[in-house]
Amino acid sequence: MWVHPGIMAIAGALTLLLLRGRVEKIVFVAIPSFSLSVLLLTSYGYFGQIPFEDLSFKFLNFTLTLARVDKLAMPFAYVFSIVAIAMNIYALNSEKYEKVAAMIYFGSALGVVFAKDFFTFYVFWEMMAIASLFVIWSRGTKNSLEAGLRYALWHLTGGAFLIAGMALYINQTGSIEFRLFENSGLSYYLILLGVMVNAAVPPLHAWLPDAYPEASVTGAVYLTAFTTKSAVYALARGFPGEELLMYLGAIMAMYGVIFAVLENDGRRLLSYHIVSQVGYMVAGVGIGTALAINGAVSHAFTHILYKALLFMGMGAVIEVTGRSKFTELGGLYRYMPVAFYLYMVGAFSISAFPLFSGFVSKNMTVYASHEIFVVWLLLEASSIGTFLHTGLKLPWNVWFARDPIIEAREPPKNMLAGMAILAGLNIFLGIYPGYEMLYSLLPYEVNYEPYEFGKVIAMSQLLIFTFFAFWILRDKLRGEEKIVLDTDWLPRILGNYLFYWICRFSELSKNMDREVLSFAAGFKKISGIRIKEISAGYGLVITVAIFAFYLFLFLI
Amino acid sequence: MEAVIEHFPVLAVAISLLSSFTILVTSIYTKRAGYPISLAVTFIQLVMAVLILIGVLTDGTINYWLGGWRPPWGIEYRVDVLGAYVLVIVALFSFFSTVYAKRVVEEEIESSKHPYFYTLWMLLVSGMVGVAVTGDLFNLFVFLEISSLATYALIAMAGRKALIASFNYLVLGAVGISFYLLGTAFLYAATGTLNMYDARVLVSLLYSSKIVQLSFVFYFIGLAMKMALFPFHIWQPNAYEYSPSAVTVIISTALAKINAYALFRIIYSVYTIKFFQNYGIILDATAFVASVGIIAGSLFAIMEKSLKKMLAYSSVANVGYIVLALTLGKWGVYAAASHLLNHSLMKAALFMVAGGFIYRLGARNIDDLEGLGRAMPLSSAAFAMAAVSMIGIPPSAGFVTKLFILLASLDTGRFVFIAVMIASSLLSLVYFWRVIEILYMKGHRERMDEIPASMLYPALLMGILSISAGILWFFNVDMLQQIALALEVK
Repeated sequence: MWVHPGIMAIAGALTLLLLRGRVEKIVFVAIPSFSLSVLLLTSYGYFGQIPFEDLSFKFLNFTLTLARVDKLAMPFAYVFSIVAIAMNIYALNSEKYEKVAAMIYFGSALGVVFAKDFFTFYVFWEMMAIASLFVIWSRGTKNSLEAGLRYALWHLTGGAFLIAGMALYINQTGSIEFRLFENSGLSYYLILLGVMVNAAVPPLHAWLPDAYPEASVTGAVYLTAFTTKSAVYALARGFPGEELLMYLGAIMAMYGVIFAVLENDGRRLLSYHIVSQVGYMVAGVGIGTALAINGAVSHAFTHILYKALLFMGMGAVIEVTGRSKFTELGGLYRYMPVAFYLYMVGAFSISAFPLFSGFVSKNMTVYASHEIFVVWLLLEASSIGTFLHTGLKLPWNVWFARDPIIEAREPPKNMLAGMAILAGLNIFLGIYPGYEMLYSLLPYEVNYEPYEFGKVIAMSQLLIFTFFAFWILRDKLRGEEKIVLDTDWLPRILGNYLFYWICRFSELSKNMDREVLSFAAGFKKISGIRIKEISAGYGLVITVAIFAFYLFLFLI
Repeated sequence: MEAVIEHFPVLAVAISLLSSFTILVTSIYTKRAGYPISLAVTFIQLVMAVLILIGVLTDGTINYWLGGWRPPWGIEYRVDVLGAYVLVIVALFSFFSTVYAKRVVEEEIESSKHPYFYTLWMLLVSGMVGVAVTGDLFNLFVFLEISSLATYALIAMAGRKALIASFNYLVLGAVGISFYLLGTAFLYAATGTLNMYDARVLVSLLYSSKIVQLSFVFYFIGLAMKMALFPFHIWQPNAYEYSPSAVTVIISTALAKINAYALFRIIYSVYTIKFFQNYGIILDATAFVASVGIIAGSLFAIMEKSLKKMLAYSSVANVGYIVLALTLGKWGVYAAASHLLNHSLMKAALFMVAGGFIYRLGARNIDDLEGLGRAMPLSSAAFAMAAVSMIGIPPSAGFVTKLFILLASLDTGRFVFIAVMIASSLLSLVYFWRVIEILYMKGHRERMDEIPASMLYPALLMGILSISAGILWFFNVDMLQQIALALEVK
């Protein structure tokens, strides 16, 4: 009998409601630690040889299986648990309800990863959407409430596609197992579409940069890890080798980088980079070879670690200054150097510097894409943009760039501790034996040596040239502040409406919200025409008519 | 124990019938006896109903011959799994509506009329309990009429506007019940029996008889009018809107379900599924009418400004669900049976809170509720939980029904109903979300007193149940299977 870490986490989250003070904090950190220890025991074969299945029960005519423990599920479960420990330490002093929501979110993500059948998968999938919604809402500002609402609509729509697809699929094949899908027409694409909403594949990505920056400092950290990566898991499970995903992923990687150019808000910039980084994973899944799937999974693993670290670093700045726009920050190195160094570990990792975690995972995906030139080019080019923005522009504008315009201090110790854990892991995974351990977790046998001479040189060249380019242009890059403060700037100066539309598109979620609202307002106008209430006499006429209709049916 | 349980069906009817006259008599001495007597009696009925259900699940159907007359000559009370289950629903919601009634009745009804109110209230309850236990077509008519007549009077107690609403209901309800009576008369003419299970056997020989067909149409139209299926719903929004809050709760939960149950019973126990296999077009037409009802009810709900009327139209849509599910084979029976409870749970919570808002603030319109999410957190939470369940977000109770209907339409290969389900989910998202948005995101109010405890706790309980019942159903599918088995649906 396997202990399901996800269900235990959800149960733990509910007990959090009853606790307070020190006990609450201990339990809060104990929840992910417990699931990590269950996973370690599982790896050592305590519950049986992987892969195995457990926790099955009959429901109606189907057998539901809560636990399918295999080599694809385990790396995701591991990284979710590890990162949740660091996050919980970081968020030790957050609001209680946010903690509860975050732990339910964490638990349901584990549930998704281990679910074998459609029903279990779907229930956990929806729980994840709802829990994350409450994580966003727990900040309580007007913006976060509105963004959360839009977030909910996106995900409920995605969920509707998913369940419609599943229902059709069950009807066609009679199987309720979530497995490698054969292309069965409509049902296949409906499921794919439902999962793609969660993976934030453009143009279905708008919820991500819209909602994540509106969550609280600690809440946003949780959001980075689970939703998109469990969707990557679902894609890797159900759709490896789907050519469509390969191209979409490559476009996605580039797309996130381009939109990050326009951003002035630190966490929104990082959010666009989630889209970009998930693009690598989606492309890896789309290529579908053993190497590419390994690349996608390992990249999901490291991405969760460094993206959480980056959000924590930016969050720490917001926590102490209350500001998040580059134009309102700068020169903070004097006050918070430790946070800066920890952030930079994340930044080097996302930029795939040798000796950092991103290097051993991202390059595997890029390497696997060699055969398809377009995909390779887009992925390689996005690397440059990634380093430029998260590795250079953001830290430059936040920690340097000018004399400080606001007082600050180091963030609280628990926040630094959470960041330090992740920073340590990012370095550990980038060097021997860390990456060997990472590779041993992957679903397929790995024949890939990250530290070949040529690969190191090529990556270093790319990064060094990017750095010089940035250094020359660094003052120009600060001119961006005007864009966001005044949306008309671009069209007027450049006279080019293309850029205007890009701006519009980057705000897609809000735009759709506005459109829908005005549409609903129009709908209300129609409904404003009050139908006169029908009197009982007319009711009788209707009754008799339908009565006659039914009698007529018997005659035919 | 077994021997005692056999007498429970008739006892359950008898005690509430007697209690209503007792209340009337005691009113000579005190005007306050109505509430405690009703509370005690409904509680005893609830206990009996639960015991009956347990007994039926373990030992099988209970047959009780009134006066020892054998059927088909005498009246037979016959409680199978479905009947026992519906009896529990009726008793449960009668009890909680009674708990809820105390404060609103004190507020809304003149104190001199309280004894009459509770007299009628217990008549209504005994009518409903009777419908659930009887196995006789004419007896069912009598009990339906008892509960309906009590309801007309109860609605009218609220005052001027309620009088008109009640009168409309009276006219349409009387027409409906006479359709039912005509149906019974034709069936009797064709078969010579009034016992349902006798009739079932005899009707099976007469499927092509025009008289039997005519009687079915009479039954269907009559009960559709009673249960407010679109387009027979005309009486319902006003009746719900203007009736006293406690009455709204009981008629929207127990009474609406008992009418649906009567249709359920007639379709599956008298005419049986084989009848419809000969006349598939009838099922298609009924499913079509129900689908139109689901969509139209939701659209009307969006148009409504008044909270209670909005909920009433949502009931129209949900009755559509039940009728649609009845046409969809085995999974459909699961859906219909589970929705009888699910919908009652949700509507109870919603109407209890809506009544509470009227009690505290006199707020009837949705726009008057601004900022109450912070001002009355518990009441609003009860409303929000039930609303979430109505929208059908998993794993709430509402989701279970939708899942079953989904599976049913897959099973029978009629995919168009999946589209109906999705459309109605989206529409209910629109009209319930509007309320939640106004409660939680608009306006600002100071913290104020919650609605009184006797109203709040039933509402909260129903709200919590309407979320968690979704999970409970997963462990209770056995009972649904037994129901389907008892109705010979495979």
